[in-house]
This record gives sequence, C-alpha cells and structure tokens, in this order.
Amino acid sequence: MKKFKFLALSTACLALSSLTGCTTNSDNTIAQKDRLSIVYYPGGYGSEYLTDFCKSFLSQKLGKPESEIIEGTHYQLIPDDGITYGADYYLTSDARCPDIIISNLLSPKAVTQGYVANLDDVFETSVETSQGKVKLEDYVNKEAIEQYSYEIRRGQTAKHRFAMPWTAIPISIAYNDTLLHKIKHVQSDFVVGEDISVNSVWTRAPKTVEELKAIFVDVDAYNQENGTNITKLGWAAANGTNWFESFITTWWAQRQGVDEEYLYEGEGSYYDFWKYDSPEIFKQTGLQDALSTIKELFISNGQYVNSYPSVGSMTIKNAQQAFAEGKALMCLTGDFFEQEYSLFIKESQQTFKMMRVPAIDNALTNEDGSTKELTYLNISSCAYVPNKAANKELAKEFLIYTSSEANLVKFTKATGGIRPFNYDVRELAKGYEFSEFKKSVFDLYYDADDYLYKFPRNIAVEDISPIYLYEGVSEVIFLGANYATVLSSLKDLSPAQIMVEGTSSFNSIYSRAVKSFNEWKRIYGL
Amino acid sequence: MILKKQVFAKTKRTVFICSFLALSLIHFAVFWCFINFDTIRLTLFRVNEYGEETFVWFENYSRLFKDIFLKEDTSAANSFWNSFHAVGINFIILPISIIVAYAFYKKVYGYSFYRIIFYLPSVISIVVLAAAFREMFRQFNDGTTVIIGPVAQLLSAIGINKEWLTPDVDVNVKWPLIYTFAILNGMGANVILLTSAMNRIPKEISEASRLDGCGFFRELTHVTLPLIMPTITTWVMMIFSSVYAFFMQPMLILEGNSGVDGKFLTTPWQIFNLVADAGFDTQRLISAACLGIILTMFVLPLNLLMRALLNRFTAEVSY
Repeated sequence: MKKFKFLALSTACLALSSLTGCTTNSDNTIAQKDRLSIVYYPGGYGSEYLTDFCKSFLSQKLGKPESEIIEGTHYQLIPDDGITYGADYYLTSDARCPDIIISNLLSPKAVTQGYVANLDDVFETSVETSQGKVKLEDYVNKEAIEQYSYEIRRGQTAKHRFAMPWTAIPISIAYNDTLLHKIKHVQSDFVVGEDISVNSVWTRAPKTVEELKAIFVDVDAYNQENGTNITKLGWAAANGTNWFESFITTWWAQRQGVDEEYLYEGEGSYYDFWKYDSPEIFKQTGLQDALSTIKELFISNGQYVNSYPSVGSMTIKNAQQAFAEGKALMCLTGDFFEQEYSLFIKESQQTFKMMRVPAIDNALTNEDGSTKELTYLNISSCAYVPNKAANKELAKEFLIYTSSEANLVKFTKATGGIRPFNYDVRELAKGYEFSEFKKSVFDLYYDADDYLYKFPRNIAVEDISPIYLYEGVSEVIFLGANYATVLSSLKDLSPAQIMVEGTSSFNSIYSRAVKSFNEWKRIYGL
Repeated sequence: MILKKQVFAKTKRTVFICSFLALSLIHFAVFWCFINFDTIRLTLFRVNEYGEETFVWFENYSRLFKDIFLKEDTSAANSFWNSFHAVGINFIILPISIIVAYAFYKKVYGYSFYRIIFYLPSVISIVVLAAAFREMFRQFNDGTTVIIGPVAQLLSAIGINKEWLTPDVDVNVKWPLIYTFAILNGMGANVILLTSAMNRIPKEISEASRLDGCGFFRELTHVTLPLIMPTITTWVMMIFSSVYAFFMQPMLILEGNSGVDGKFLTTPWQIFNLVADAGFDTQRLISAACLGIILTMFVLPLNLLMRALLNRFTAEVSY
C-alpha cells in the first residue's frame, strides 16, 4: 500500500509539474522602475548609437557623468530580430514590457486595442534646432507622422499620434564606383547621354533605362575583354524580393503621375492608389508599365537575365554580400548597405555609391522639362511607447531628446541613416568626413524632387481608408501575391495578365482585389 | 469505534480517488473542453480592429470554402490539397516498413546494427534530421552555384543538376525531396511497431509454416502479414490522421519558404503561420480555427470510411 501511495504521489507531482510551464519566468523581466529599457531591431544601424544616446540622455537627466551611467542599472538595451512581427510578446505583458520599442512596424491593432501610449504631448513639445525652437509636429516629416496616426475609435474626427518616426530609408540601386570607371562604353542600339561617348569609360551612373541597357551591353564587352564574370545588376529571388519596390514604385509613378494623373487619364495617380477607394486601382497602367520594364530588363525566354547566374536561389544577403565583394556592378539595396557589409567592403577596397533608379522613357517631368527626380523612401521604422511601460514619461522624454537637431545629426554621423525630420545633414555637418557612399545617400535623399511612400498623402488623415490602416496592404503592393510570386510569374505571363486579365492557373491581382474589397467593405461598413 | 474508523478510511479513500480524478477532469475541462468549444465558438464570430466580436454565423467558413474549393485563393487551395501528400507518404512507408520489420523479425545478417540505425530518427529531433538532410543537398551561392552537399555532388556527377533547396527554382524536385525526407524520418517508429507485432507471433506457427515448405517471402505474405493485420489496420487508420500534422517536413526542408502561391504549403503549416504571426489580429486565429475544422470535416469521413472498409475486409486474429 505504501508503495502504491508513493507511486500515486509521484504521479501527482509529475502531473502538477507539467502545469508549471504556465507560470512566468522571472528571468524574462524587462520592466523596472527608473531603468530605461529599449527593445530594438538590431539590423542596419547596430546598437552603438543607442548606447550613446542612453548614456548622454540619462547623464543629463540624473546629473551624473556618462561614465557612471551603467547598462543594466540605468538602462537596458534588448536587441530582437523578431520584433517587427513579435511585439505582442512585449506589449501584452507587465513584466516583459519595455519602455520603448524601436521596430520596422507598429501594428495598428496594437494601437486600437490600447497597448500603445498616445504621443500627442510629445509632438506638442518643441526641440532645439539651428532655427530656434521648433514644435516636433512641424519638425517631423508629415507623411511619417501620419503613417502612425490612428483614431482611438473609428468615426472620431481626430486622430492621434502613436509613434515617433525613426528612419527614412532611401531604397534604390548601389553601384561599384571603382568598377564603373573601368567599364568602357561600346557602340549599341541604346541611346545614352552626350557626356558618355563610345570607347570612353563611364564617368557617372546610368540615368535612364536606355542607359541601363547600354551599360549591360558594356559589362558584357568588359567581361569578354578581361575574362571576368562581373554581374550587371545583383538582386535575389530566393527569400523575398522587396528591394524591387524601388523599381516598381519609381517607374509606376513616372508614368502614372505622383499626385496627379500623368499619362493615363481616369486611372488616378500613384498616391491615389494608396487611398484604396476601389479594386479598380489595380488596373493602373503605370503599374503594368513598371512590370513590363522589369520583364524587359531581367527576363528573357522564361529565365532571369542580367543578374547573378543563380539569382533564383540567392537570398538578399547573398546578393548584397557578392556585390560588396566586387562581383557585381550594381545591386538593389538601401542606405544601410555600407554599415551592414562594412567587412566585405573593406576587403574588396572598392568605392560604393547609391544612384537613383534610372528613369523610364516618357517619365514625369518638372516644369522646366527635366525628369522629376523621385526617391522611394521606406518610413515604416518607428519608436513607440507601450501603455504598460514602467517608465512612460522617461521614455517620452528620451524620444524628445533624440529628436533635437544636434542629436539627429549625431544619429546620422554614427549610422549614416537619415531621420525623417526637416534637417539637412550636409549643411549641419559641414567639414565632417562622411564616406562617398553616405554622401551619395544624402544626395539621393535631399536632392529628390519628390518622395514616393507607400502612403496616401494629400488627404486628411481622418480620411485615410481603414483598409489601408488595418489590412497591412502597404506591406505588399500586390495583395496576397508576394513579390516572388509576381516576379516568378513574369517569366511566363504578361504584366496585363498578372494584374488584370489572369489565366486559368493564375488569378489576376485585380480579381484577388475584387474579392478582398468585397470582404473589407463588409468588415469596415464602407 | 471500528465503524468510525471504517467510515474515516472510506472517506479518505474517496477523497484520494476524487483528488486524482479531479486533476484529470480539470485538465480535460480546461485543455480539451474549453479550448475546443472556445475554438468552435470563435469561428462563428468576426473580430474588428478594436478586438470587438460580432456574431456572423458561418461567414468565416463560407469564405474559406470558396477559397479552397472554388480556388478563389490559390494558396489556400494548394495548401489544402498538399496536406494529403501525408497520405501518399504513409502509403509508401507502409510496404517498406513491412519488409524492413520482417527482415528484423527474421534476424537477417547485421539486423541488430540496422535496427539501431532505423530507430535513430525516432529519438533525434526532426529539426536536427532536417538540417542534416538539407546538408546533403546544400548549395552555396555567391553569384555562381557551388555544390557542397554530398548527395547533390553525386547527382551532379551523373548529370542531374538542380537547385534542390530553393522553392521557386526547379519546382518539380521539391516534393520528391520532401517525400524522401518524410519517408526516412517516418519509417523508424513504424518499423518498431511492426517488429513488435511480428515478435508476438508464436514461434510454433512460424516453424510449422517452414515445415510446410514456406519460403522467406511466402511466410511473409501467407503467415506473418495475416497475423499482424490488426496492427496494420490500426496504422492505416492513423494514416489519414497524419494529414492534421503534416507541416514540419516541408517547412523544415524549405526553411519556411512555401513557394509561389503556396506550392509547398499545407493546411497545418498555414495554420501554424496564421497563429505564429497573429499578434493582435484575432481574425487570423479565427481563420486558423476554421481551417482546422474544415480539414477535420474533410478527413474525418475518410477516416471512418477507411475504418469501416478495413473492418469489413480484414479477419479478426487471435493467438
């Protein structure tokens, strides 16, 4: 009987211990009063700049020298690669909740369900700039603020600010400047600028799609002459091809018009697309033009061309690394390239620069007849304060502190990244030795005639469609079909078939949109 | 006094039994009843951006039915039908496992060694196995393809050059690759199950069959198989249940990339994705729950049909 009782007791203990997984692990505790904790996405800009900001901010706040501000005691930095889609892990817990989250996304449903603190008071605060004190509301890029403005209840007339825009990332093409100056222009059918003559080397990056085609021919000639195997334009198709957005958005807007219609009457402009009024927006011809140009440049006989031989199986990292090693003339990337691949760049000892997406023919022009210089910007990166944060006010003060002009410049110097505020680092950091790559990024940003965001600008923030706000439609332009699907389908189908007509084995994006819109209208009562 | 003691002992015993039963009942109530009923309840609601629920009857089901059966969503339709590859895989495993188990039962030369080899996949994590399997086909890209995996090298040497692990290139080789992995991974446990069943057959029957002139294979088909039929019947019935859990193999082999329009996606994998990235979007959880129920509605009748057929056509065995 004793044996039986012992066995029974052991079984009960085992059964109970199986339930202990439900308890909270105290090691995961992040929240602590008077300790500033920040969870951040570690890619791109690293963490050194955040350490500097924490030390200088807390030193000022606590009246202690920076050397006495210690990580773990006064502040805590937690890198998290999965923060973009995993913020609920932090936001829903009292113990795990940090004071600030810096991420590439703020889930709108986290806001509407009350997990994110209102930052209206932060934007009402003024910060020091060289022009005197400026209210943050007027200092931050309007689109970047509005992107993260939400009504607390639908139907309210006012929307509120819930996130501080963190970076504005120009996405475009980087090129190997050292290599470019070795590529000789040869006679071809493609029209190039007068400053590029036959048998002389390229002195600048291609500015038009025609010039891009010409340089592709020139790279072939260079490879043949020198027995090399330089890739023309590196990109990757194995794990998402999102950097293609810069091509798609630029060529689309150049034909469709940025704010107002350009070539195609009655179809709306690029920014009209993001209003998400009806599924008809997917019939915009400019979008098909962009896909046609991609097909023309990168697909031939059902195969990818003018890129790495194994582009289909390369990841974005593979493609950028190979480019940094000097294996390609150009590569799709963003302003973070130099920071992320510094090791390989150092080894290859070549100079890299960013260039604008070459203009399509019949592109939108300025009043003086010159082509409108468009830069595609990713402004989704932001910092926000969870509602459960232990040090909410401290967090808000930190966000204000990092938004002063001096700290914006400090950020840019440290990371090469640009924050979406009205400051020109070229003016404010005169004499500071930025790398050639960073300088070209600044040119791409500051010299643009206009920016392309995936955001419905030019409408009152209250009028932004709930479809846009809550359905994550800006994450992928083609709704349910991701970029890899669209690119891969371009091998066999025409852009018109992909976007509007469809085939027996491929539902067109338009037909997918019709279905989704019907559902969205029902959900949001539109 | 004695009566009092007896009553006390009885009460003690009753409390003891009840406390044990309570644990199981609470576990059953919380982790089975509550979860399942709440799941079914949730599928009848729509949750808006504020987390508020609206009763919508079968709207969620009707949407998914259209997606899957009218192919309004290619990815959902593909994933649903892809789930049934699990049945195909198990039907391939079945004869192989029988032959291997029989070889062990008949103690072929080196059977102890092979038994351990076959048993290994059952005790090693599928994640490790998948990583090892991927290494066999590993290719490295730095602009040009460099073949590293020994199997990929071997295949390349005989002229078969494929992008083995990239979902969107050489699409046709991916399912055979997943099948190969799933078969290698799934065989161990089945071989153990069948060997155990075979070992229960009385030695006299085996000896008698040999005295009657049965050879190696004749004994398998005419004696051993009929005697282990109840085990095989149970297993065949479980084959259809494997559809519910078929996602780790393709997901691990393709490192989470389900290919263009969900070419390699399965419904359980889709459910996993929906739940993993749900965040604050309860509607994703609802879609996952609906998919699970639709799959059950489809598989359960097949399961019952298979059971009825097997019961009808297989004789009862006792020894």
